[in-house]
Amino acid sequence: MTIETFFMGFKTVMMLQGDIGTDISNFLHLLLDPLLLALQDEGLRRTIFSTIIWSCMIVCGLVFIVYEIPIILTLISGSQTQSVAKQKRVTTDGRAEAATASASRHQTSLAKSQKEREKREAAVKQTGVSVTAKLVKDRELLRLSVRINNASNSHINMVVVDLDLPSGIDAEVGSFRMQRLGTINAGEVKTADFILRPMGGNPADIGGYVEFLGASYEVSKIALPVPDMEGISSE
Amino acid sequence: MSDNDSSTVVENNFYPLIIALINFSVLLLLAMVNMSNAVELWDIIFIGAGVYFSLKFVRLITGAHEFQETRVSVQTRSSFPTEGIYARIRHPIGAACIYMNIAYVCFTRSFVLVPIVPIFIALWYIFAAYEEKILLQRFGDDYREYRRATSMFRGSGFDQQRLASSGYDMY
Repeated sequence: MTIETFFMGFKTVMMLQGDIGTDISNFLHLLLDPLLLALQDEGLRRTIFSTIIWSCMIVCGLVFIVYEIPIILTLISGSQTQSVAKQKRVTTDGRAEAATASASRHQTSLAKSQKEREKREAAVKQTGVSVTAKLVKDRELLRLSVRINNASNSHINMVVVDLDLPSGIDAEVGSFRMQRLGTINAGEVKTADFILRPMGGNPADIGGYVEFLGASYEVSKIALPVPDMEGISSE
Repeated sequence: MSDNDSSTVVENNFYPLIIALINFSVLLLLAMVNMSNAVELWDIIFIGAGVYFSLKFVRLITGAHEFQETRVSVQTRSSFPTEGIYARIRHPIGAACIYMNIAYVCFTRSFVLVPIVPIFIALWYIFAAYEEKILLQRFGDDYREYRRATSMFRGSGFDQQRLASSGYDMY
């Protein structure tokens, strides 16, 4: 009884499928045949192509002109002798004003870098891989140790530590801004050491990234945290 | 880099306009004279490619002009944009015009344009290099860092670019 019902159902589905297939085919024929027939006319095809081509050219030309109109008007009227927003020049009289502006910019920059640091730390917490950085003064040089702890359950490949050094701090001759650590297995810790030469720059501004391929072959990037400083006073 | 003082900005970036006028006047004349009338399968493919490059042109031009700095000469620019289309491409106007040159070749379907278009592409490249030289002099390390993270004309993925530049040659 069950087998008979199954075969009955199967036959009905097959019949319905056949009907639906024919219906779709008829519908498409009705829809596309006139179009295909019309497109067999070479003159019509040429007209359509010509319309598309010239429409594109005209539309692109108009877009360019619309956006460039202010410049075209300036060029025609020749009124470019107005004052322009240049970087402010410090004159002898405006020294105090410039100093205030500079202090305000410095303050904004500090707030911005603080925000950036918080963002970086939050990103580091989210992943199973943790990165710590330590900066130690070594005579006139700085030794930056970036420690990568793979606390996740799978190994990570092609680990790269890439530093973004602020102006006033450079990599020492023979040391590079980028180091490849290769593979770090689950639970393993690896460290990359960089020798840096400070030339007036703020060590707290040292940034960078640790990039690696995760188990799912996705490229992950962790921003370098603010280095712990030993025997260094940041500005 | 966005210390804008928009009240006194003068839109005086004439060079792209002049180069574009020369470029497309020449191409338009050549296209009008030499455009192929064939309507075969290859023509459909070429016209499709032309439409695609035209759309890229419109997208890049629109993206570039979202920023007022695009219309300000590099010598007088108070900052350089690093967001929007500029987060991936440093010279969207040049890129747009290069794509439009390719679109003209696809639309015209004539060998006459093949030796002409590289000349204009070279012109756009020279102009972009000239602008970069000035921006590097004016903004120094800020612009150098920005340049490291972006492409001149073609926008590639930032992460992939960083990884590729890290020496692994993965991509």
